[in-house]
Amino acid sequence: MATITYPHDFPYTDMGNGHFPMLQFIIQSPNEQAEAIDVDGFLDSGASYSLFDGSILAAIGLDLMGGPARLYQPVAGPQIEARVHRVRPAHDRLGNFTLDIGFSTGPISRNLLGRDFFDLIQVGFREHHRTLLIDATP
Amino acid sequence: MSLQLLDPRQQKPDLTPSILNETLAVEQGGNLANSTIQHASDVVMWVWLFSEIRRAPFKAPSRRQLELQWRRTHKEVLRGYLGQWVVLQGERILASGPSLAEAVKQAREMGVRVPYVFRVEDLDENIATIGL
Repeated sequence: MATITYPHDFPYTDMGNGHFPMLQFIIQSPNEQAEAIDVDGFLDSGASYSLFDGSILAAIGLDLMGGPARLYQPVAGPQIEARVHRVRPAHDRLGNFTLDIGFSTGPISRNLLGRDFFDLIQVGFREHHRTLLIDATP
Repeated sequence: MSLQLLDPRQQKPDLTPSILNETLAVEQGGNLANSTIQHASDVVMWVWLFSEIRRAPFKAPSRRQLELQWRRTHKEVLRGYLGQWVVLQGERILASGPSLAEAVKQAREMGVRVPYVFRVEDLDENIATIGL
C-alpha cells in the first residue's frame, strides 16, 4: 500500500453557496514579456482536460482562435468548443506548471483544472474536512 | 494548427522564474523595480529560491485571502455584477464589465500588473454546481 505525505494542504474555499476545492493561479502566456492575470481554478476530477474561459486569453495577449480545436462533452447539453493553448499557470506555493489548456470559445461559469493537471501533481481530497492535499510532483 | 500538445508524463517541474516571483517579491514588501532588477541580475538565485518554495511544506494561507473573504461577505454587492467580470484588488472593485479584456485594461491603467479577475456567478444556495 502506498503511503503519501502531502507537503501542502489548502482549505476548501467558501464561496457563499458551498465550499470548493479551488486555487488561485497566475496565468501567463509562454512569452516571458506577456501580461498575466490571476484567476480561480476549480479542481475537477471529472474533467479529462482543463477548461478555462476563453476571455482570459485576450487579457494576456493571445489569440483564442489561433490554437487547435478541442471539444468538451458535459454530462448534459451540447458540446463545448475550446481552443488549446500552452500557458504557464503559476501558484505561490506549488510553483510553475506548463499546461496545454482548452480555452472556451463561449462564456463558461468557472475555470476547471482537470486530470491533465492532476497528472503533474499528487492530490487528495479530504471532503469531510473540506481540505485539499497536494504534492507538487507527479 | 501546429501546436504539438504536451505529453503530461514527459513533463518536468518548471522552475524557471515567472511573473509570480516578482509578484511574490512585491507582496513580501519589496517593490517591482527592485524585484525586476534582482530578477535580471541574479536568475540563478531566483531559480533556487523558487525551487525551495516548491519543496517547503507550507501551512500558511495562499494569496488572495483578502479578496476571497470579501467575496464571501459581499454577496449582495456582487449580485449587482451578475454575469460580469470583476477585477478585485483587496477590498476594492477596480473595474467590471462584460469584457474581461477591457476590465483588465482599466485595472492595468491603474497600475495593477497582475489583476485578480473572476466572473460573478449566481450564488443561489439552492443550486448545486457541477464542473460544466
